Amino acid sequence: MNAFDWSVIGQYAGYVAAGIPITLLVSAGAVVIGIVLGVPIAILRLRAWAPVRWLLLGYVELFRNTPVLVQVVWFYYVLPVLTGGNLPPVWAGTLAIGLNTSAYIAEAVRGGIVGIASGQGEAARCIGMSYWQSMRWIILPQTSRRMLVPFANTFVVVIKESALVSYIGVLDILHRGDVVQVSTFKPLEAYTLVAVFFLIVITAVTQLMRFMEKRWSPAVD
Amino acid sequence: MSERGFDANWSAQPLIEMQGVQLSFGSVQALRDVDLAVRPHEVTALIGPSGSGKSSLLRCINLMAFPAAGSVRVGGRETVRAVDGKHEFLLGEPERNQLRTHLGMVFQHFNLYPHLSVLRNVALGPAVVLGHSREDAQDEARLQLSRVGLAHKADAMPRELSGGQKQRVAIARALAMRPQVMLFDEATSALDPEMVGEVVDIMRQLADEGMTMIAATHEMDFAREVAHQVVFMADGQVVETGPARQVLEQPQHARTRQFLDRVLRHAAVGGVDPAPSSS
Repeated sequence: MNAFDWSVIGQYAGYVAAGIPITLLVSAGAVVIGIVLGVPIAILRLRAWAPVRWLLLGYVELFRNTPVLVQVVWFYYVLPVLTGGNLPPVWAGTLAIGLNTSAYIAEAVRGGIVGIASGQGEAARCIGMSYWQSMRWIILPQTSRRMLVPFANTFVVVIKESALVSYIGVLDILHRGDVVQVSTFKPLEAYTLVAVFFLIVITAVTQLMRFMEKRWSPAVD
Repeated sequence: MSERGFDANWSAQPLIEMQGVQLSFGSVQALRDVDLAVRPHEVTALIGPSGSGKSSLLRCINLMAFPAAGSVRVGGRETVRAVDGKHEFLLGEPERNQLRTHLGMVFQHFNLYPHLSVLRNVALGPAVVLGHSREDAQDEARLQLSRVGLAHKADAMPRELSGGQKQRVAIARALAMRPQVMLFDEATSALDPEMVGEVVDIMRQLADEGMTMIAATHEMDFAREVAHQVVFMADGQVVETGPARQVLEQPQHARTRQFLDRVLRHAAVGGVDPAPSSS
């Protein structure tokens, strides 16, 4: 085995680390898209005009049952052909991972709503609240508290998935590792750097989430 | 009462009427051909083994369950009518919601909103459903909380309360809607024995004030001393209905006698009603 070449690390650590903001941007963007779309999808899948429900079921199944990498590639190469526009790779990647995340979040939130809705929704309906009032005042506030931990976990998953955008040329942590590898022929050092930086980012995010969970711990008896 | 939308003649007699009501969940017949009449200001105790249909009966009254046959009338107005498994609401959805504001419901497992303080649990209905201002809703909530002796717990969270206190808050929450009828679905069955009394006391107090009540209960003392009418149910059927003393002391049906023997003997040896959870 070759000796580990620390000079590569010294020379390129800064270059690879410069991908951290892109990785975080793509991940945060995807989580925001995931929540903004996923929560309404969950609510509508429970009670909407039947064709809307089927459409949303199709959406969820489509994104859950195809590889994320395929979705990323599709959004980058195929969407511009269909729409005639030009989608920068960062946007295409964020959008694809975000929509994929929304499908998973929709299912998680739907489960959360159903779990709370039986007794709590009934109590709300029995004092005369409409379905939407019971959602607004009773079910969603409780669901959101319970969703804090799953959402935090989703964020970590999405950071890992974000590495897929390197495939369409976004200069994230992994893609910068590729560049180092190609120019130095030192894959061991290059990809170890990549792994270490992902580890640092994910550990930092996890710690931050733990801190936030403690501050907003669910007030559920 | 028309200012609250659901237009019924609440002084007409009887206040609640069920005729030939059937209810099924899949192949399970929860109610079979149930007739019931409840007059204003009277207390009806529903007794019978768990799974006999007491909860289902209550849920048909406030339209949380839809009969497969029969009809239900509230305040003289027909609310739902069903034939051969198909129900037809005679009220639109907003009117059904308004109907429920008149029918207070108390659950076996309290179902307080865990994310809201005691005060907000009680004030939410008047504010959100009746459209009262925040101040008016909270005044109403404080009034109802003092009625159940828990004004001092207004700022507590539900998890900080004992079971008996939770159920008293749940009663206050229902009362804050100023209902015409109170429905109790085994309100004391999930309580530790030493807490049953405080809840039954409030139910008695409501009955004394002339509240129309239908209470599914295992508390035979309550049934005997407070109820005007006792309805004994078994296997989804009303087996026997009559004045409390008659049904409890001179039951006409073997099924009723059998049930009362078992329950009263159990109580006599100091046992506590096991009260398995009902659906």
